[in-house]
Amino acid sequence: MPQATTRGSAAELSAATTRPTLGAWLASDSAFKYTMVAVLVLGVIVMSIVSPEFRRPENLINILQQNAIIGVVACGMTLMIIAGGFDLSVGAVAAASGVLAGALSIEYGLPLAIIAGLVVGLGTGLINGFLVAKMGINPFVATLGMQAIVQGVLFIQTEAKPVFGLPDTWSDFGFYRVGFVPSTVIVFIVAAVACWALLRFTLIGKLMYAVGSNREGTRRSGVAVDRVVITAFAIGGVLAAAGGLMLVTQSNTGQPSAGATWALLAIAAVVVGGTPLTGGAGGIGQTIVGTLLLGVMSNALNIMSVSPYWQPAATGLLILLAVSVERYRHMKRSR
Amino acid sequence: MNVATAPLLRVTDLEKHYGGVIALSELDLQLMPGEHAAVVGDNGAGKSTFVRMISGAERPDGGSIMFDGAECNFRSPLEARGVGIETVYQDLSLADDLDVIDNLFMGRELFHLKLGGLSILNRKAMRKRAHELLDEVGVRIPSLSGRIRGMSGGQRQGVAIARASGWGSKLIILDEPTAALGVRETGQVEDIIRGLKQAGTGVVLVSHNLRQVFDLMDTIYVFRRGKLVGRRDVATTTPQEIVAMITGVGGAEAGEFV
Repeated sequence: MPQATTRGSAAELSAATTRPTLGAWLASDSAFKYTMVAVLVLGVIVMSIVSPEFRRPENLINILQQNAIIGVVACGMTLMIIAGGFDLSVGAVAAASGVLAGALSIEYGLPLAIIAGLVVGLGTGLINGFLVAKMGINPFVATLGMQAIVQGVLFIQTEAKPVFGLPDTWSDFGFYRVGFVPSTVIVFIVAAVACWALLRFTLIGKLMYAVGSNREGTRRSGVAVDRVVITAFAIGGVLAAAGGLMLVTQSNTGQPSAGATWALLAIAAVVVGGTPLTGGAGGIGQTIVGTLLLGVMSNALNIMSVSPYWQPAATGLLILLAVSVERYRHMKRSR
Repeated sequence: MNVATAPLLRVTDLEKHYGGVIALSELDLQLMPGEHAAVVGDNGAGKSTFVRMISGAERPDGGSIMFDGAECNFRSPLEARGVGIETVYQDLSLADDLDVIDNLFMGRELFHLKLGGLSILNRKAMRKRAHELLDEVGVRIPSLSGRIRGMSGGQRQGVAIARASGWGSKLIILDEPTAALGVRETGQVEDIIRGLKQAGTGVVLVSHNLRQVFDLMDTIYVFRRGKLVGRRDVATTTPQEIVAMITGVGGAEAGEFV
């Protein structure tokens, strides 16, 4: 599968440089979108043919289930990236949310615990947004700082130990299925549809694109750009926290060390799908494709018994490929 | 012009300094409704400072601005826009990744349903209105759903001017609108400015291009070293006189009046 991915994209790229018409087509947005969809479909088909294990329905559902959590986080990341930012604290925030909700649920029950968990995400997201929008701090620095603070506090409070003995309601939800669709996948679908509708139909969605595209110009048009950025980070924080809660439903523990790789994975899902890191463009559809692409790749590597240490390397390769294509398109467009 | 109409903009004793540097002082001028006025002068002459104060981007340190019969004290460009003063910036304020409609209605969207940030955009109504707007200004755009990024400089400037003019604005400030454009595109933008004259919309044009100023404008206001050194009617002055006033060479000082 990763071979198929690499070959497909590389072939497109070299063909594009020799034939200008194809290059122009590649530079268009729909082209990149459909290229990634084609790579995903092709990968699934090829893997299904070569591997009986891969094409087992249970394995395919498994891919969805395993990637639903990062998918939810990536939806929030998409909004932040479109608005011209990104968030490195999503993993720490998710862990904090899961641990706090887990601990609270033992005594106060799930509803209050879930609300508390989401409030952690909302609060950190608002602070991130404030630092970026009002203080003008680079998102990299602001959210890296937030990540360190949240993780530090979390490790001190828990002494780095997981929270056990949670009510079974967590895992009851986590392993619940509607027909053959796991509950976490349904949460992913709901989050994705909500974010898609927000971007497509609402004022704040349009303004996220506008701010990511030309922040100063949008400000001059009388738009409260700071509020748009803060909103994007707040939603991103809430969805990161939701991801943390979803993780609790899978393990029935609150893990302070959870989510260490989430920020990079979520950003990878967004970028691999074709949303440029420079902001102003892209969308949720691309993020879904990117999430599934990473998920299928990881699953395929597992099935082919490739050492798990190769997984991050393969993810990194996919990111670099996607970003290279994006840079190429950028050069084409701004020529 | 036979009736003594009230001025659209009256600026009295306007003053601005940055720290100890006086950027503009003792500025008195008035513009009539529909007047197309050029603001010319060397770099640092104070013309940008003047424009920024009447567009609400900066607050004066002294003096007063009367617009349309009311005293104005703009705290932001939004407030200036509220009374009918629109600004088209030199480095364009369009969002390249968005389409023409989204840009035209930036900050003034039409909605199906108003719910704060969650308001549902009425793109159909905006599309319809966008056609009217661009027609009024005489801007031809092949596709309204095309991104700004793919458009020529003239088309972009057309969209920016259409955005500024389409909201019942009485005065449009154009800051070097053709500085970055080619010959043909400059012609397109100049046609749009002529259209504004016919529509009766007032214009303040900041330009270094005297040919353009003499072609398009009614009056010329010359700034030098933070002061307005003179006002001339295009019909009764010459480029030579204006250049002399801009540079301060050739006895222009003698003609110092407003």
